[in-house]
Amino acid sequence: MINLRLNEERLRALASLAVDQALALGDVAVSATARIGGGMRFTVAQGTADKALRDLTQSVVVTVYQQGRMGTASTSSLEETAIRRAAAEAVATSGRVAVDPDAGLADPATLAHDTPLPELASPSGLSVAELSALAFEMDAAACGCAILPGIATRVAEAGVASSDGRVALATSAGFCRSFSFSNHGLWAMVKAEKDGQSAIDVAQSTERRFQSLDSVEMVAQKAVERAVAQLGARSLATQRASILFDARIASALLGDVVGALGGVAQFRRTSLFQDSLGTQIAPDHIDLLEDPFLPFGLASGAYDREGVAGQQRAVIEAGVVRGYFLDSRAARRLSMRSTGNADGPWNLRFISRAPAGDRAALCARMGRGLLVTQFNGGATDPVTGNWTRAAGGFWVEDGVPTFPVSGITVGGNLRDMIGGIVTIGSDLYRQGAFQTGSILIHDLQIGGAP
Amino acid sequence: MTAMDTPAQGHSLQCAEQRLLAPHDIDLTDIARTLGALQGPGIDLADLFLESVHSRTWRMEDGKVAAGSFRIDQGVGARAASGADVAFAHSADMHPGALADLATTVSGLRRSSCGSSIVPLTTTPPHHTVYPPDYVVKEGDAADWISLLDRVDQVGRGADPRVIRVDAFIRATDQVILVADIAGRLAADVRPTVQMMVEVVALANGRRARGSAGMGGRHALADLTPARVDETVRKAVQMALTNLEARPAPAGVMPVVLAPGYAGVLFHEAVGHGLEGDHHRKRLSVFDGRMGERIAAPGVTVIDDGSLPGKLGSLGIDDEGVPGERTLLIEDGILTGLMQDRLNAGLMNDKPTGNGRRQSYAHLPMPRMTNTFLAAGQHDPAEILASVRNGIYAPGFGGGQVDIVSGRFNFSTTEAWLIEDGKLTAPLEGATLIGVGHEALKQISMIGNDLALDNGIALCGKQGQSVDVGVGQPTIRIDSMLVGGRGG
Repeated sequence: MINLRLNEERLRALASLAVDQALALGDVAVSATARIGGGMRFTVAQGTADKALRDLTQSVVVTVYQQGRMGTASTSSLEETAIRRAAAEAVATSGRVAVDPDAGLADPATLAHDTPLPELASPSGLSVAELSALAFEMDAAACGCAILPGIATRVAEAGVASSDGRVALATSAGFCRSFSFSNHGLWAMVKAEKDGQSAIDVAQSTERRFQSLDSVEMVAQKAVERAVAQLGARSLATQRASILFDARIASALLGDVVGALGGVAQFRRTSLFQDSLGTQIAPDHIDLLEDPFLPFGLASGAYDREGVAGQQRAVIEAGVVRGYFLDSRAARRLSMRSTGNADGPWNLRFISRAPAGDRAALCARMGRGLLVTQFNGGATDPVTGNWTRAAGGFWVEDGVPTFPVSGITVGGNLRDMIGGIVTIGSDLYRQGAFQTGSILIHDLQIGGAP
Repeated sequence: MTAMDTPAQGHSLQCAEQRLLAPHDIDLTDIARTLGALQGPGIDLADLFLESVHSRTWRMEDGKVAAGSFRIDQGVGARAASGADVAFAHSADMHPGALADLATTVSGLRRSSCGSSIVPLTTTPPHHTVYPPDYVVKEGDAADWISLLDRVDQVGRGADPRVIRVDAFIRATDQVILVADIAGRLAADVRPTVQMMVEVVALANGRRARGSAGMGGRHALADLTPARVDETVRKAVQMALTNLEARPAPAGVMPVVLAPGYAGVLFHEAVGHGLEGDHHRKRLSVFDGRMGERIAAPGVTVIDDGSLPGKLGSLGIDDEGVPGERTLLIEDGILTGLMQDRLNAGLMNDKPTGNGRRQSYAHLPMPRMTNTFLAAGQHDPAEILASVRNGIYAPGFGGGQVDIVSGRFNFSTTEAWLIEDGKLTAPLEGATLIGVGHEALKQISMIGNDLALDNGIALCGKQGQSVDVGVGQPTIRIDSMLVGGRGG
């Protein structure tokens, strides 16, 4: 069982203390965040205990503005002397830098004093013995999965983690709120071997509520299936082909889109979707929807680190950009309003108004091409949109996956790729803040060495 | 108990006592008692790691240093291992009671009770000269840092009218550690790090392009000399201007020439991770069981060396108190060595190699690289370039990754050129290069005499933990490698 040492009231008091300390040192505007977290993590491999970990984290971060001069300081000690020192350092630092007229606290009118808090906390309440036993169950489930003769599997790591945290935000503009949250996870990493060839893959389940986690059997089955399916993988000839990005990894494309629609990229003029507000960047059946308030959402919250609430909105509507991801500074620089995204995007859903069915239906629609189920590395140029990845997956012929593929690259220009999305599947998969179905795009470059 | 009578590491221990112990009313007796509490039946390895990090960053955005930050992170990690079964807890609270709580928590994780002995702390490693044990985060030095950043902006914008934006930051970090274990070993280290990163945006004919460069190491601000700063900025400018003209990189198998320095990330990925002891103990590495075998062409020698003075990946002592050292990983094409921490060395009947590293007190140590590089060969770099009829030349790289089970690695270019008839003819957009470690090594046919380490900008991630590392190599020719560009 995880017992956090400080309740929300104490954390709010610490954040307020930091604000007061900085205010006492000069004519400044201040915001302070106090955070505490605790968790346990157990891993097991092939029936043997591997690691038993207890985490305890804490911090106070103070940000000070002296008429547009910004200084930040943080401390992992919550003692009053440490907080006083952090406040002093933040004030001193702000006194030494130049003025950024756009830097400052959020505009008072945008502060979310009373937006309802989405539910985020659900402590598992499990003991060391219970969590440890669950890690052994996770391992046993993965060890016990049925596989074809001639294939050997081994559990590289089976694990369970459970953590709780609290965070309070106070500002010199009178904002003072706090909330609690939980995170729980189960995972299995499995190595499969056949005829001297090895493959490793992982499956995991991550939730705010312990009871929402997938069963150990389900996680185990997925990990084993994924590792085994890659055995016998081979490369392809260099060619242009259609690519179906499996829902499990398609959110990686979204990450770059979110970056390009972010305030910093926009005001620095380094975005591949520069000045795209009101312009069509995707086909007209595509929407990108944001919802900060989903109960127990992995990226839900009532307000961001500046105290500004996000909103339920369409960031991309019928393929047209309707908004950026802005904090207060970026908003001022762009003469816009903060969208409450100082901590990044809230829960996002990338969908088609004409979803093409599940993955099998999408494979059938693609006919011939590559189903990508893994990205192993690569890079996006955020300015030009040049996009290349090392990847793996399955070659599809006549609408059916025929053999596993590895040792290939895929490449394109992200601007063309997003503009050229054929369809998005209804096989929605959630990865952190992102939820999307499988994404089909025609005519991308495959590099291979058969 | 008092401090050592004749501490071999006098100054570092003194710094550790001043920053980690005295302000928190902790003394070495508390450490000895906590180690005793961690010790119990079946415990082979137990240690305490105390850490304090002070870090200061100045950020220049479009010509103005308008933001600065300061960070203090400190805490204690306590570990106890029985065989491969490890229990670990950490705390950001530092006082004698917090140490006792940690020992209780670790015992609780093991579902056993605390020991009651006191571990005498008797041995310390020798003094090292890998970097000076000096603090680089000082009060009142803002003006020096800010004027350096102003210089970055001037040099960047002055270099070419197409440069429209220069952003940069400088970060100075002091890390002080104290590590003590149940074998009675006590060690301390003071690790200064200074880093600068520059990003340049250039614009011509409506097209924008980016270039970036950085420098850093375990040294003082004074080592960021104007000449080195100017060189770094010009490198970023050059990359941005080159990329303004870049065309899509080709896709397919071709000869590749890698420039000296950061391209050595190839050896970090293709060789290094697969030779970390934990991956061998768990029999996950593609190199498992191949010690003593030829895995590369003759002439290929790969080294991990934590004892290089002032380099970003260097360690006077590692995070388990083991002196940083030079480890031959591949000698003339033969697989010769692994990188070990205490836990894995103990379990594999091997010796620790000064590679036991952790991101912080809140993380467990594991075998990690320090500075990893391919040793110099005989070839003139110009001769290597001239030898390629059709291929690519890559002087700039971003990150890389490896799957240690298959040995399949990749890394991505940030600056690359087409080679035609031995000459650089056209700049190329980014491409992802991939290969399988032991196969790629066999394709190395020419090794230059111009070994260089990267400029101190490499960061390595493993199992969620980041540590600073160095990578390096001379100019090399790889006869056949899959280049994954977006062009046909």
